[in-house]
Amino acid sequence: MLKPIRVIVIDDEKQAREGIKLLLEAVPAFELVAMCEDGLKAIENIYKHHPDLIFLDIQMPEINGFEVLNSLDNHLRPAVIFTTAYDQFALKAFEHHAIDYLLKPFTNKRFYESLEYAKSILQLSTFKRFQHKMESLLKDYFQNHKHDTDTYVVRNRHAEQATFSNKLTIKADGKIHFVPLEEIQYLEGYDSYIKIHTGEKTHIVKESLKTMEQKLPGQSFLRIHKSFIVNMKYVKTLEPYFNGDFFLILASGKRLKGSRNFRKGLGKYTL
Amino acid sequence: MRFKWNKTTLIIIFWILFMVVDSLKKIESLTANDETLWLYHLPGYLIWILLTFPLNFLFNWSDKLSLWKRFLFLAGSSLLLGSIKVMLSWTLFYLSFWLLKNEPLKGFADFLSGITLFYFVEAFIISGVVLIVLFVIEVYNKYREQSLRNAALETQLAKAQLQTLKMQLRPHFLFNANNVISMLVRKGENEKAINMIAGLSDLLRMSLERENHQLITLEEELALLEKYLNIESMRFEDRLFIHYDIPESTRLAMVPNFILQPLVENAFKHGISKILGKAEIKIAAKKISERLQIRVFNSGPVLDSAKPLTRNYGIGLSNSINRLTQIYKSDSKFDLVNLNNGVQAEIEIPFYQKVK
Repeated sequence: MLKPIRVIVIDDEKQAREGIKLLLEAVPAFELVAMCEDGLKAIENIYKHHPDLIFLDIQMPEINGFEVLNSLDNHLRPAVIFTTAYDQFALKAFEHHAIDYLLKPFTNKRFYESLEYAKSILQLSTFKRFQHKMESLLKDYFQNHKHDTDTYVVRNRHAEQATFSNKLTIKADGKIHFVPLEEIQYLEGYDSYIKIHTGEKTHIVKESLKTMEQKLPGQSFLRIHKSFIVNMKYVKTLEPYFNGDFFLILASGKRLKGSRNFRKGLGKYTL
Repeated sequence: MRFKWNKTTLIIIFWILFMVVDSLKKIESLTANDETLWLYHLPGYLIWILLTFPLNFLFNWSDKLSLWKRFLFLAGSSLLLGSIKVMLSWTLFYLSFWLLKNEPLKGFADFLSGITLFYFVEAFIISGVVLIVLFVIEVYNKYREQSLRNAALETQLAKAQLQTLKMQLRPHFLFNANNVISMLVRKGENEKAINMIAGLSDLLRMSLERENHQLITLEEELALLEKYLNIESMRFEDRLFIHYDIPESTRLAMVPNFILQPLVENAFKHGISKILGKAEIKIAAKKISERLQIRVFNSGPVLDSAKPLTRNYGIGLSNSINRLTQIYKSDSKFDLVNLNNGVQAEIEIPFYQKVK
């Protein structure tokens, strides 16, 4: 027996996901492995399950369908059937790159046609060609959407969940990057951006330190100055200074000035 | 500056015309080379031109008085200014004999005896005429202002209605809603599907048929909004949570027609569509002494205080803000504030209740 084609359905509307699930159940050759309600979960699940095919909604909160694909390594990109209600640019681009898409709402007939088409591209020889098409589609899209490729930290409401709790989700150039929180040593705020210092790399995001503070778990990260948040894990010593100000010395040797206004927070740490 | 200059010209033109008409009447004296014409009447017009400014000032100032008080006040003013005019004119006339004709100055008694009641009555009537002209101009201006204001209100209402319709006809909303319906049918959840079709139809019908009154009750305004939000919450049923807090006492309060729709639209555009996971919209009304306060809260990214407010507001909101100031003048408030992981729009207007 042939191996079933493994599918993930990605759509921010519950009924839309469940409808596709229902349609897929009628075809034994396909196996639904996950359903995701946003781009972040989609990326996570694609890395986890390595599906052969995804149904991908374009307009989703915060991370759209194109950004999901753009965040995946080339070799991990599955076959894609886009689903959209309306997006003039996307529709034009699909036509131009000859990529299949479903316009919502769609008929059963149209749905099964696109399944057939998906089956055909999953054959090894055509899949390579499909991947090339997808690459040029993404290039096309991000060239036309440069204006909304700001870098910032995604407000992540899944942060309570185990898979996301130890990572900071950063959107940069239409790509999602995950920075493990434990690697962040300290954050330095400027007027309109923040430098996130990890051991080896520095990420720059457009954000204020105040909103950033809300996106970080309070247990390990502490605001010590109007322009510094520090990961207490990396602090080696505290050195008092005048008027209640102080210095924190990190394991790397970096000295960060702390202000007396933020001294309260230090209370729970005995250094 | 320009306006003042124009006004001055108008006043001078008025008096020149007045003078021409008046002189035609006195054509006999003109031919008879009567001295009173040259030495009394013509300088008199100069004095009138100067006195028109205080008269105009008093006229404008008295606008705040009640009708009767204003009438009495202006009658008094014209008596006073008329008298001043007569005394000035007469003094000038009197001095001109001495200055221009080298006649010796007459005594004070002689000076007074020359003034007759006729001069006073004449001056009083003339200042009355000036006031009537000012009054006509005022009525005309007020009428024009009123019709301009009405036209602006009509346009803004039409814009708000159009915006509401557009929001419902937006392909994303309509096609996704239809997609939900088709999926519900596939799943055999027919009753839910029918509810959604009925909801969509109601929504469209309500915004097409809504009468275009400037003000409607909060209840009517919310009815349309609830239909809209019902559909949105069916689309995002496991993600979007909507709360209403509308006390009975506020339901009949009058609010500008279609005023809440743009706020809710904004809540979706800048809030709900920008966050992952659960999202919330809260609509609350409250009567605070004689004011009505309406709040629309959405969870989502907070406003960037570094950006100018206009960039945070969006175009839809600016129409709402313009309408509020147009309808309530300075008696309304509009505010956007950051509040626990979201943004709250707040409108405050005078509380008027619909008369049953």
